[in-house]
Amino acid sequence: MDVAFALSVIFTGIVIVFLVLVVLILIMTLMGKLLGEKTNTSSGTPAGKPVPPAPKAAAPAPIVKKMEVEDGIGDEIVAVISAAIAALTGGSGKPAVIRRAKSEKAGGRSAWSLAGLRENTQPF
Amino acid sequence: MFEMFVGTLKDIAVNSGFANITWQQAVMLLVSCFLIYLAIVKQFEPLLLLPIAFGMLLANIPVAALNSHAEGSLLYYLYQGVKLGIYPPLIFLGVGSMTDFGPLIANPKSFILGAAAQVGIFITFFGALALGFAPAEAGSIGIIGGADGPTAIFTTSKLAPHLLGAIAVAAYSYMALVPVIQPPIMKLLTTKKERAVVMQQLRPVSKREKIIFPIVVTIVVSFIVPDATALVGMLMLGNLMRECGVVERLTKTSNNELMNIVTIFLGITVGATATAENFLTLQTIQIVLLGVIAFGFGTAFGVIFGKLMYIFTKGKVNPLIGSAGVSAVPMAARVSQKVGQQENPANFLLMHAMGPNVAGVIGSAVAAGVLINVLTPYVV
Repeated sequence: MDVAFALSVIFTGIVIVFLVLVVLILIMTLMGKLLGEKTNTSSGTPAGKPVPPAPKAAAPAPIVKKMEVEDGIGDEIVAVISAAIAALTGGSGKPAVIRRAKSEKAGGRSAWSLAGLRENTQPF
Repeated sequence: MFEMFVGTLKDIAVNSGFANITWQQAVMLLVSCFLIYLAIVKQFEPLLLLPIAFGMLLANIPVAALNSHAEGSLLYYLYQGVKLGIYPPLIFLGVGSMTDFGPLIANPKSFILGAAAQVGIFITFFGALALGFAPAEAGSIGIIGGADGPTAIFTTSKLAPHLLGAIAVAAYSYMALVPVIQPPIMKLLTTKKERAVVMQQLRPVSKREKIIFPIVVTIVVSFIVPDATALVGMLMLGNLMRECGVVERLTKTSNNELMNIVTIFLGITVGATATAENFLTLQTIQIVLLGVIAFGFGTAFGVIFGKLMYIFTKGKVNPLIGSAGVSAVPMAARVSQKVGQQENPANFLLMHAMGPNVAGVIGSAVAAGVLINVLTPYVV
């Protein structure tokens, strides 16, 4: 075995792999600084825009709890979860309450057997 | 009439597989049945191992001459896609359109871990040379450590096509065994305190960053390592189609129909290169052994660099995410998550490990490009 050849291939290979990926780190870091999404502040206002002070309310307004969203959760996710809650509660914001539940008569196939049947027959 | 009937039966018997089978072919049929068992029952990378194993079975049926090297046979023509380096980049197109590079863009330092895990490739290259393999063969064996099937097949088809069967089987088997191979190495190289580190949540990544990323990566990688352009270019094209959001139909085709068709062709023809005379050799055993060494070193170097990042960031990086640098997406990242949760059940490392994991895909493609560039003059 030509040890010098082997070592030169190993050295070249490792150096080039690291070089390429370090160049990518630098570019990505720069890109992140230039184009990176600013994390949402808890008030939810777009960053950089000063918010005009709210006019003083004449009468005490009903207190509405401010929605708190953890940093790093995108607006789209919040919208999707809110929409799911709205769909579930029928838009009223109040969850439906189950007062009475009647168990269905046992009979026919179990849920597991129905799932198996569905899986086997779905392609046809 | 009766004599003719008996004569025909005799001819059929003489030309049948039963009369012509060699013991090597019989062993290969058993090996392929075992691999089919692993794919179906143990679910070892079944999407690829199953067609590979069945291709192996077809290639070793006596008389039929249905292997990737038998000119005129079905598999010979399908094999041209492997030989000419067409299938692996097409698979990368599909992989790119399924991969979210967000965690890597959010934490670009993950690229270092993706690079560190490639050291295993070069150490194994040295080991293979020491065992007497030719340089081009050693490069193909080393690339198993990249833990990336299409990359391993692409490199081997260029450098040592006669080893394709053994290398593909070793690469896909070890990728399936990542949850078995990696945890002991990860635990050996880290302390309890390091494994319990909870990492900060990643910053959100804008759509514009996700669109620019594949374009930048393609240009940078291809300019430095032109031999990696086919793999990285297709990976990034797939990703650009996914992220830009204006070619949904193409994205769906590339990660469903196209990917599945190419997977079948690639698997069956790679398997069909493993004829008895190619596969039942001492070299295959050596390749299987070197493959596990490649995986082990790749994991170890990823974790070691993870430890260095732990030290430099004063304990903000969990070294376990380093092992995910060996590609094997997303299995290696899941292993980091699982080992981390063993120390701290409330710790979620998965998204942090996805960064090095997808960086490993790019890293192994770059390593493949370097090996192809340096070793092509040594192809025998």
